[in-house]
Amino acid sequence: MRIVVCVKQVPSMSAQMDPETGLLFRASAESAMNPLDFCAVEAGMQILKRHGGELIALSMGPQSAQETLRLAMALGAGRAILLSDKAFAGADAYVTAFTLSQAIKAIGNVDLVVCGLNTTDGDTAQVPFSLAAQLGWPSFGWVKLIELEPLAFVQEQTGTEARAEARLPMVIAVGRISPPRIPTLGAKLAAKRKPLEVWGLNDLPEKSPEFYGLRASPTRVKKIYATKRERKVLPLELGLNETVKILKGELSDPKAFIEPVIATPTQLPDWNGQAKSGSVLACLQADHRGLCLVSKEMASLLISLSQGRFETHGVFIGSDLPKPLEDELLALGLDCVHVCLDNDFKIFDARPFSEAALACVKALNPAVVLAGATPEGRALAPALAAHLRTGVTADCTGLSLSDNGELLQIRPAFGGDIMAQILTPQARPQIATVRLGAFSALESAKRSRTKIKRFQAPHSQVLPLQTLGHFEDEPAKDLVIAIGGGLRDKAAISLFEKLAEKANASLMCSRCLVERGWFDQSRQIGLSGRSVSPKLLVTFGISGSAQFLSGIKGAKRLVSINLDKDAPILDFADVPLVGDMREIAERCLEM
Amino acid sequence: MTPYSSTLSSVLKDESRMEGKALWVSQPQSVGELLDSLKEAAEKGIDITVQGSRTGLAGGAVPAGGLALGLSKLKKSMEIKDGLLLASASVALGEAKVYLKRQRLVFAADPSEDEATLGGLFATGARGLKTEPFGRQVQELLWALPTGETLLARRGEACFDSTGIRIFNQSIKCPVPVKSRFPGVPFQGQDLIDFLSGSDGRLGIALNIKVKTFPKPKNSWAIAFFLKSEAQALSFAEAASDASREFLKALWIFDQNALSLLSKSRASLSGLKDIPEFPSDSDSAALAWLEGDDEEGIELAMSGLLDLFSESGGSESDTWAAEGIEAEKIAPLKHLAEEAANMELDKARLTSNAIRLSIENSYGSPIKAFRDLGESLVQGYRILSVLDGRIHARLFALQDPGKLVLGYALRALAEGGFFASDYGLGKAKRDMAIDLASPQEKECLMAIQQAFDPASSMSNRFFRAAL
Ligand SMILES: Cc1cc2nc3c(=O)[nH]c(=O)nc-3n(C[C@H](O)[C@H](O)[C@H](O)COP(=O)(O)OP(=O)(O)OC[C@H]3O[C@@H](n4cnc5c(N)ncnc54)[C@H](O)[C@@H]3O)c2cc1C
Ligand SMILES: Cc1cc2nc3c(=O)[nH]c(=O)nc-3n(C[C@H](O)[C@H](O)[C@H](O)COP(=O)(O)OP(=O)(O)OC[C@H]3O[C@@H](n4cnc5c(N)ncnc54)[C@H](O)[C@@H]3O)c2cc1C
Repeated sequence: MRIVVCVKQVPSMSAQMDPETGLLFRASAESAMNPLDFCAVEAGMQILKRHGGELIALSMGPQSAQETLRLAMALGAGRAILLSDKAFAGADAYVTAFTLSQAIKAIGNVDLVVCGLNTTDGDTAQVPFSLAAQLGWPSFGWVKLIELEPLAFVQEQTGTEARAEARLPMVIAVGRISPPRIPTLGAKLAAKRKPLEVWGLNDLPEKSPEFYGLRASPTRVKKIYATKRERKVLPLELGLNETVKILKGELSDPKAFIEPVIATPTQLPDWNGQAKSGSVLACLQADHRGLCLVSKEMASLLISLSQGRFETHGVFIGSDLPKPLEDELLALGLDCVHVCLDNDFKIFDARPFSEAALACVKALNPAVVLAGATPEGRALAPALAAHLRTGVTADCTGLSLSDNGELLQIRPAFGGDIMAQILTPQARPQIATVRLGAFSALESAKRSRTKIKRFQAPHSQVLPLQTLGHFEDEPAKDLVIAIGGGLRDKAAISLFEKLAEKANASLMCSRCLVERGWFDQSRQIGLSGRSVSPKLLVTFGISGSAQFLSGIKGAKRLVSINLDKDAPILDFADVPLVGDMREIAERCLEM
Repeated sequence: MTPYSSTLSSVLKDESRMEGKALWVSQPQSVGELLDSLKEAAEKGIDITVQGSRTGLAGGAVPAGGLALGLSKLKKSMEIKDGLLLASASVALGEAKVYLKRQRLVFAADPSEDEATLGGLFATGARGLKTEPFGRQVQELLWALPTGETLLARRGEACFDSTGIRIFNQSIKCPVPVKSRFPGVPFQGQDLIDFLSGSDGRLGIALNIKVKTFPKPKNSWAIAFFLKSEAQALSFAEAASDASREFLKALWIFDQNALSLLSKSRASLSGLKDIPEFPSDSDSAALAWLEGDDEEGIELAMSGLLDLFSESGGSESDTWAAEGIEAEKIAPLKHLAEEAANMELDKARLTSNAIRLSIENSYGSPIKAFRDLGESLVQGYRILSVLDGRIHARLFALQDPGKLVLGYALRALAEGGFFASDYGLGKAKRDMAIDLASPQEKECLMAIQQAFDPASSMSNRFFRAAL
């Protein structure tokens, strides 16, 4: 079997930010292999060991990326190819995938491409799916387990776990599989001397520079800025009674929730209020429980973005439309939902699903297409975009739409340390995935207006898929209580369990309590844990590392209790309270 | 100074997991406020326990009644001039490392607990994976005496001789030994700064330090060698430490218990998440750190290590090697062993001092000491820094580990060993040190304490009572 593993060199995270100014200092940042690409190499090596053949490491990047490729060779790759050419510089995800696809064609007879799921810098998670679509191959993402005989992959998606048998050639994108191997000393030393191929434009089948690099890229980063740390309120040192009173008020009075600022339509005042100038479309998604929350959020988002200037549409692809789901679609308040039903669409599969979505997009010609930043949406959008030769902005947390249908897309990158404003100046439609919980689902008053239209779409064969089971990923409740390192005594956890129960809240934690072995990782909030977007988040004894903060961006309101009035989290909190977590919790339970 | 209340209970503990008592708490924000607190406490006869980030492993920051004087809120500043970092003692190691990294600089020493303050590192005599103590690199020190006065010490200006030392225009007279067996007892020729490093908040407070920095070496490597027996690991270590001195900056041996503790903690320690299972049937491991600017030289040294490893019975496939930023994945294994030990204690709720001790001891051949300790330890683990003979050991769930360690320490001292200063003596080891001190050593301790802290406000809780 000929396996290609795609590896990217990224700046190491540890040297990213100046803690004082919050600015990036790239110059001093060391480079490293993207963490999940270690898993990709590991997956490739395991498959190679069982099925034999050859493993080739492939990277596009500057000359310095040779280091990353040498590491891949030390880990077992027999051959390494660096795509490095001035013409390749500045590529977005679509063009990166195009360039890699050209190399894979040039290598020839490739059976399997293994990618990491996402990187720590661009973090679009689009390259593998775009690559598969551009090669015309099936893809299978979010792989968490590999079965070697017969070769099959298990993935985790929204609410389900699915298994696919390999249909080669194909592209897989792996998440965290078993900890990747570390090279042996002999292999490290030997890899230093192995030959490494550097390919330029002329080594690829498509030799015209206009297909490569920045100039071919549909998306453009307009602006990058560091996430600002703005103190909202000075920490409140109020004494126990007053603090407890405020906390109890927050826990019991839902009216106090502040709705987030949602999508903004721009240039609205000039609009004449008349004809609709086009349409906008959301790719809707359901699971075994019904319509996914992110679909409702996207529908509300489209309605408020368009402000009557654009028709709002949805597309739903599935195997059937039970009445409750139909009712949910009708209740979205969109102008029209296009439904494509086919027995093949029981389980999500990026290639055929994107082909069905393509049929809808071609018929409608929308200015904007949104998908949820779910595993499914993040695979569907780049595959769809590849068919349309357009770009995707990943994981948006802010959007604004002008009268002429230009979409300004705002997204976090580098693990949330920076925000990027992105435009898709030429290519259409403009495609974006939207972060779960970043926008609110609003109750729609216009439910009767929604039309449902059915359509059929030709599509490729689906992968041999099977659902392994559904899991309730226990969505965090509207109210989350999170505790952290300020908790010195394990026995005091029960106090917070009681408090959470009383307030009907989910109890979660920061990383250090998982490290102490006091909590299971599934309850950890943060970059290496879960993101939460409750209406109210109350933190106790959490100092607020950048990693933790990146997991709570979606929280609508933050109440933080900390003994240390200089704790960073108090800078972010809507209600920063200074006090002893244990004492406050005790008193809160008493009252 | 505010009276202690239960809202402040976190000031009663540190990472030794011991718990103390406090009547007063003070967290000054400026040096002026700090000196005022010192004066007030000295006047009122209140005992003072200085606290950095309370990450110490020997309990030095655990208050014994009196005032818990926290330094973490002190105004922080950092500046680099002529290769020296001038920093306030309240700066955390992690903050300093990030600051240096931006300029591609590093400390020569590499203590690993990023939350620890520079003052705490200085005061405990901390070292890390490498052999260099943090304090050894300090060139200048602004020191607050327990009386509330300050002292500026510059390296090379004041040293101990056989009769004592001359500082703050007075002579401290005591019979200074040629060799010191405990932090707190000076030796002839010792610089005042090195003496104060390791004084555990007994003789005053580090306010500002000027410490050497170095350009980050062009090449750095961490290599783990796994072996089938402790005997193999020790024979490899002995050969390796002789062979590649130019680049080899650290060489540690982990015993079987240390390895299994790490394996067991895999699920809960995030630092272990990216580390694969240890090669099957490995019994012991050696962890080496090499660095330098000469790439070829280092590679040659590593090939040499690999040969020695094979000669000791190791198999090439049982090595892990990582370079540059990747090396930072493996190098923390030593630090993670300490964290794993603490987690183990928390799980079992073993918080009493009696069941957990760290000892650092070296005598004769460190390898011999390591073996001896292995014979006498039933439960617990040992890790050994081969290059400077530091042994770190943790004892779990034993009836009276204190007695066991005392027995071992006696043996070590008898063979010419000494208490290495890293971690400080804290409370965990002070009683043992006092029990073992000779009359001459006690005289030294007393005289110095009397001169630095006439009112005994910082040292009372410590040595004085016991002496
Ligand atoms: C702040 C910021 C925001 C950006 N936002 C967008 C955006 O919204 N949309 C967009 O299209 N582009 C965006 N880009 C550009 C994008 O990051 C780069 O184009 C990059 O090449 C795409 O990869 P990624 O890092 O997102 O990869 P991902 O898609 O996250 O990578 C997944 C896997 O693909 C493989 N892979 C990715 N890149 C390479 C490579 N160069 N060589 C070999 N294998 C590789 C690896 O296996 C990797 O693990 C952004 C860049 C920045 C700096
Ligand atoms: C997981 C882990 C691994 C570790 N590994 C190592 C290791 O490999 N090697 C090693 O040497 N140490 C190690 N340590 C211990 C480390 O040395 C201490 O954490 C650190 O030195 C203490 O710093 P701190 O600011 O927390 O001081 P504290 O714990 O608050 O105080 C320690 C002592 O220093 C005194 N003190 C604090 N600040 C000052 C000051 N400004 N002036 C004078 N006295 C002061 C205190 O009174 C106390 O006696 C480790 C710790 C942990 C938790």
